[in-house]
Amino acid sequence: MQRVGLEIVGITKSYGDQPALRGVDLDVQAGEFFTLLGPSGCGKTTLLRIVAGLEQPDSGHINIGDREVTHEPAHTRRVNTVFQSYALFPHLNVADNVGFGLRMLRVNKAERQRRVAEMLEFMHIAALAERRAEQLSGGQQQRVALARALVNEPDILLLDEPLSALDAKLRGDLQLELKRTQRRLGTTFILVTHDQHEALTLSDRIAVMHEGRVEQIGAPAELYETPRTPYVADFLGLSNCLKVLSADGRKVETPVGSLLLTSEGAVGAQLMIRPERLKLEPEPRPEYNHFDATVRERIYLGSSIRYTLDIAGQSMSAIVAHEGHGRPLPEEGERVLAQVHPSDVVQLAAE
Amino acid sequence: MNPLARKTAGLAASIGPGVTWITLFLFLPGLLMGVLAFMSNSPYGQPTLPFTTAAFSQVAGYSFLGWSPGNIEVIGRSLLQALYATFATIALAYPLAFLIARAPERRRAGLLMLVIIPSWTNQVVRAYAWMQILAPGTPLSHLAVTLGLLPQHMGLYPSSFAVSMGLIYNYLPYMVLPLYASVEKLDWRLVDAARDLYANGWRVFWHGVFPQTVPGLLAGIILVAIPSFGAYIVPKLLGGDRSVMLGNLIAQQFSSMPNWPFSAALTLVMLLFTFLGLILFRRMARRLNAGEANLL
Amino acid sequence: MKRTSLVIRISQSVAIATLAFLWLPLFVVVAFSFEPEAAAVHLTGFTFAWYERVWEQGGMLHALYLSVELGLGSAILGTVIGALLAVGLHRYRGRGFAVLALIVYLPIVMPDVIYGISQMVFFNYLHQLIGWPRAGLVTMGIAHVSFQIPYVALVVYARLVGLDRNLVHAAADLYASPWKSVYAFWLPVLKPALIAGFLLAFTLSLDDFVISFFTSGPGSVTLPIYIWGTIARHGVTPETNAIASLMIGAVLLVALGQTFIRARRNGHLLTDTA
Repeated sequence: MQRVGLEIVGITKSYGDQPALRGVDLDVQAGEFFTLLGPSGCGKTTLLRIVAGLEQPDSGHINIGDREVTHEPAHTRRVNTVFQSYALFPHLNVADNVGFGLRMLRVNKAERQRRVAEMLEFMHIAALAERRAEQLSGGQQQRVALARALVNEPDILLLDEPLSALDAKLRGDLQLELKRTQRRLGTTFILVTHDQHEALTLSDRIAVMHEGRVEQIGAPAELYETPRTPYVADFLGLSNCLKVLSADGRKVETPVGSLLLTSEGAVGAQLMIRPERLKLEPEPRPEYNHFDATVRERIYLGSSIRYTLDIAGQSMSAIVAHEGHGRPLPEEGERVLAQVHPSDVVQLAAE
Repeated sequence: MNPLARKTAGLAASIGPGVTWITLFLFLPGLLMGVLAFMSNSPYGQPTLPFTTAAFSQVAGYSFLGWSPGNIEVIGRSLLQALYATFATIALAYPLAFLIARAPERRRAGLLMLVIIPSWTNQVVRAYAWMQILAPGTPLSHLAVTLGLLPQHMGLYPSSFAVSMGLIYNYLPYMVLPLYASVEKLDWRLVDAARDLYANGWRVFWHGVFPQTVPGLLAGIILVAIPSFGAYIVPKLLGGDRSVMLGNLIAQQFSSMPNWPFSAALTLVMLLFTFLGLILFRRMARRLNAGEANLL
Repeated sequence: MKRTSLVIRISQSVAIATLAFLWLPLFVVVAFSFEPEAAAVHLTGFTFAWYERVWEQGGMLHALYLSVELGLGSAILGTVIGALLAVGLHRYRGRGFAVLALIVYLPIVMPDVIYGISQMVFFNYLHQLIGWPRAGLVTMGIAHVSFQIPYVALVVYARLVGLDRNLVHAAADLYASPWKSVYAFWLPVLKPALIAGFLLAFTLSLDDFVISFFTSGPGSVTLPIYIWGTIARHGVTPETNAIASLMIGAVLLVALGQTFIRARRNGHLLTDTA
């Protein structure tokens, strides 16, 4: 299968006087699993629908491969979508649902039946071929919707929150399956989701969206480790943000005391420390920043324990791995030493 | 084609024919009636200029002979008949709605059909059936004579009573169906709660059951009262000269002794009452957030 | 407890009596259609004579033929226009929606007499002005279509509201052009609603008397108008009983047929109906 990328340039879109997209630029590489991540109302679904051709942008343009498709209607774009509600046709059985696109493309019947059968086999739903959509479980519907889109061998597959209607256990299984499918086929996938775990698990790269703009684009680890803004830091997991009061070379003053950073230079307005990078150990480690802290709250999370600490009147979170038979972990009310390595202190731009 | 033009074209192609048809063949005739009501009546029974409100004075009972209560009586009688029909159908529909809703699930569809099928027969046939039953000498008329309610050799038809029977018979299913929909959804825990609070069966009904059925009741009232008020067939076939209703009076002014402006004015009066009733009950239903009534 | 059960028993008796009340008049008409005595108030025997008489007179068959012609013609037009209206209303729900909703609801709540008479007057003036239409099947058809449109629109609209809004997008996404999606998507998806809407429109046309009566002409005596005429001329007669019984019988046949079809579909009792 040929691999095709996507280029989005300066897309804006408003509904009435309500702006949904305020100028979005994106490059999606051929064969990439790309995710648009953000809360509801951030414009991610609108952007996906514009790529599919189901909505028209107010300005900007879209190229699929090296062809501009901005003004092409949906039915001429070699792009297929898996809808959040799956949108399986109620008047057709599973096989005819999957064959719908090929029928519209006037693929001859023998070829069509062969490809549908192959795809049903590939998605492990061959046994369901004669069923109607209403007789399928959520997970089965999801597979049919995926098969119905992929059988057309689209340049790009768009997925609009495809797993959000399923329960947690099934969602986990299908995430892995989705990732494997994408690896095997090599088709460019663009996923829309509000679920950070889903985004981190599946994506090669993620674009975090906020109020109609792309806030930051990067690989999952890059976004998690070095978010550029408090918004990104907060959206991808827990974070402790500290205001910068003043800076002197590598040394920065914050409400919890002074901190050493790894590099000097232009310091952002805020610093961020991930809770799991905050160590709670009685012996000070060399090169680490140290703070006196009091345990306000201790929550048992199974594999780890989450602490709420009071450091100089400031509330901070720490997550400590549960090591089983190791030394006892601090209790509520206990005074502890909180430590963080300079390389784990991330500089954020102002909001 | 640009998207806006495409949208406009799609809109015109889809709703265009329907909107045009109904505007042309329903709104325009309605408007024409509105205009006719303000015209003068020529000696030949044709509406002419100048514009006048004479037709409305005539509706109120004034003519060159002075004032007579005839028209007002007809309007009052129509309202009264609608009221009777509404109350009687409510009284009959509650037990029936409960009977169906409390029946085993597999029997409910059949029972509903028993209610619906009679209303599929033609309205003329249904009114005719009552002519047959209430005619002089039939068992019911005979009973009325024996009880001294009727003079010897008279029938229960034609009479205002026959008109009431016909209206009740005609519109009973329209009360049963929405009420049934409400009763079927009834939350029986609230009924049990009422049973805990009140020993008396009537009070259990009044506090635990009735409030929950109000949405269906309001829908039923709209469906029964409005067509009863505007009835034509039933009073024409089952009523005599002294049980004429508004619908008959309007029709009469168009055919036998034409006075179109007068008739058009009566039409406006009927529409006025109809819409007032409709708006009133819709507002009540909206306030109660009543599902069935919102269908109207 | 004893008191409650008494209340329930009374209520059940009333309910059963009410069911009898709904059916009794129809039974009486059918029973007396087989009564040999012409002006009987009690049943004395059994005969088919009145049915033979009706058959010999022939007027009823012609009236039936006209009714079916009018019903089919108006229902086809009413279904097409009503379905289009529903699709448009559903697709372009916007500021104008309230006005459009009025177009759907007003004909349903307007009293039949006003409906029929205002159209009669309108057609009368129109005929004076442009020489068309002459009162008859055409004016009746126009009137019938105008009251069928809203009912069909409601049935189809209900189906559209029940559909996943993304379905039509899915069709476009899967390479269906607007024209292709008409036959590959819209028609098959709406088929149950279109059939239900058509049947409803046909039934409404057959059942209507008042509007038909005022918009009809000398040559358009449909079945309800025919039976009205015989009642107006002769009152209660055995022949009229026979005609009415035939009409009741037709309704029962249709109802039985429908029950049979539903029973065969077993379990899907209420799905495709309006």
